[in-house]
Amino acid sequence: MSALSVLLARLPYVVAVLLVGLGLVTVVDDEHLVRKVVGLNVFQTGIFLFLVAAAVRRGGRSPNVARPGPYVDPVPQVLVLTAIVVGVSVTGVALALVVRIYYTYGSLREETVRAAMAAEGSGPSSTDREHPVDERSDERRADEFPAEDEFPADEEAPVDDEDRPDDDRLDTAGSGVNDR
Amino acid sequence: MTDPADPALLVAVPLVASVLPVAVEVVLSRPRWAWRVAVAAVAGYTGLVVVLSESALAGEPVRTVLGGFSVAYGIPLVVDGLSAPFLLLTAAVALGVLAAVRVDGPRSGPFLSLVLLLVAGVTGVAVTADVFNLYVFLEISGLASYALVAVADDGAAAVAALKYLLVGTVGASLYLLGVAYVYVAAGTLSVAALPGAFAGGLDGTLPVAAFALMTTGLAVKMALFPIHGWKPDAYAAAPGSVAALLSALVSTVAAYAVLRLLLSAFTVDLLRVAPLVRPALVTAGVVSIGAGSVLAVRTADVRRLLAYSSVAQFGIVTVGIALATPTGVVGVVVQLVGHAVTKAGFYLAAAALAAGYGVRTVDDYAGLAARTPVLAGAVGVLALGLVGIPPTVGFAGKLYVLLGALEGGAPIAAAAILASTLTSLVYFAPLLQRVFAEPVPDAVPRVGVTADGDRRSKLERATVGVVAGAAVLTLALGLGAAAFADLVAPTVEGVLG
Repeated sequence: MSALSVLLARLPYVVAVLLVGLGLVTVVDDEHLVRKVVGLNVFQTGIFLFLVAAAVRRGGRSPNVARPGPYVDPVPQVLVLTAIVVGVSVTGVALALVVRIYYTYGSLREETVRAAMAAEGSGPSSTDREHPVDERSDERRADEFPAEDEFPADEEAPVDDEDRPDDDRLDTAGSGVNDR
Repeated sequence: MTDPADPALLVAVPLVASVLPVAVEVVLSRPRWAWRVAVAAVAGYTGLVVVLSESALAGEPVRTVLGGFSVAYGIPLVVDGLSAPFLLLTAAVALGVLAAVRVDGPRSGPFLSLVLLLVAGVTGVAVTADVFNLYVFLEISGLASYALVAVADDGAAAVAALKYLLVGTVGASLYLLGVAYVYVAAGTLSVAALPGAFAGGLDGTLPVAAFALMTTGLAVKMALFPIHGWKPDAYAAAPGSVAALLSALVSTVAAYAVLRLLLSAFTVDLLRVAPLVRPALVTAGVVSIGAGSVLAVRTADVRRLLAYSSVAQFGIVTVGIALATPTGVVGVVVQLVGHAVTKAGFYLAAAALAAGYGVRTVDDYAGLAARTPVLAGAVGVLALGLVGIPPTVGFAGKLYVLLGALEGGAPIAAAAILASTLTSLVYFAPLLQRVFAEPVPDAVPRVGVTADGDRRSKLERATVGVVAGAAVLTLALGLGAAAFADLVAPTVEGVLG
């Protein structure tokens, strides 16, 4: 019982640790790219919660406001506000990259993308020649992008129902994004 | 006010100017002006850097506190003898890369804007004296580098950039968690106010955990083994100019940040009161030296090989930081600046060779000396610089770190640094042998970038000039290493107390 009460007294910190752990596991382990980005956000939110929880001051007073409290330490609040802005920017860039990956390889699953890259000869594991690195490959256009059914790995990957709508929605909603 | 200029301008000029290239191209529809605007911004930045560094290296640090708050609450920016070399490096690399991309591309407005944003970010990391502000600048430079990797506009680049983003953001967030620990433990975030501010002393759990988290986060950006995975992918997928820019600046300022945190914020007392910190750092460095070398030996693609060589080079840097002896720290600065110049030049050379001759792997490099003597000669000098053969700057950096290791009584670290020279020879010797001793293979057509031959020859002139400049700088910094070390040494001794 006493261990539980110790944990309960520090509930915000416990939740922060859980969020950090959950987020990190999702970033590393989930094979859906969008969920990796969500995991990254959960991970950061855990850190934000830690900062906000650390800002609590029992019986804190303000140096220049007369009204009675409760007051908290404002510095961590400001830090979190800034860090949230940073996090949103990172998420924006991440999602833009995810959209480009989807239009190039026709999938948001890591394994499928990797298989497609290997087929193309540009996988991260291909340390040998035939690295298709044209420094100014502006020629790549939408019509070159392989159709989704070219990737047998897509069928092999365990596709649970909650994923498909994601893919489909991107397919219809993002058709104008391709050429930026 | 005898300050030559306000350090805040160092960040403000590239940050504000980063809007201009994209605005000039998109709003005014003047794509040709975008490059000129970027060059003008970097030239202005360089002028500021030179004026401020001159004062800082002469022993007069320049500082400002944003908004006129007191140091404990405001955000101070400082240019001193330790940050000045990195500012000069940033200016030189930015100018070199802009010169190389003028004809060679990419030179779109968005690309140039990102370059300026990266310059603003790494400058901020170098000059800020506030640990949270450092996080913000780390992420500004991070965002710019993620987008720069994806400039190549193909799927492989996007995958590499996303991987870099996920790993890099986790690293930066760990750094932020460390900042939270620092604030809980010390109640301030100002580097100047931190020494002595830790309530329970430096040997408490909180300060040590804070340092561990911050260093781990920055180690991700430095790409120490085993968190180096993003680097070869990102550098191989990005255009050569981007790889040059990132390899020269991003990991370098992350290493500078670790050095600054250890010396100025936590102070070297941390190494004394927390006995695990130094062995942990030395181990991370030695493992990186070994793993980077092994991975590089097994790699055929030259650009991935260069990325793995960086893993080993930053292992040496980490060992030097852990020693925290005056000679060792001077060695770290020389090694960081030297590695940045050498690696950036090598990446530009690799990109020019890939574009002009279609060579990408070590085997492809056979007989290059006969086909393109200037580039091959520069590649030779740069490779020797990375191995650490006198009189290159790579030799000087390793020598100082080695002397620092002997001075600090760390024989294992010294042995690892010596061994790193041999192992780097193992993967650069075959390259040099192919370039200089082997004949041109039969039937290799000279691959042009475009059908239009005129453009290709211009590409060579612009990029070859910059690559040759990097090679000359590698030699000049090596020959002038003693003078360079003398410039940095007073500040290092001052910081070490």
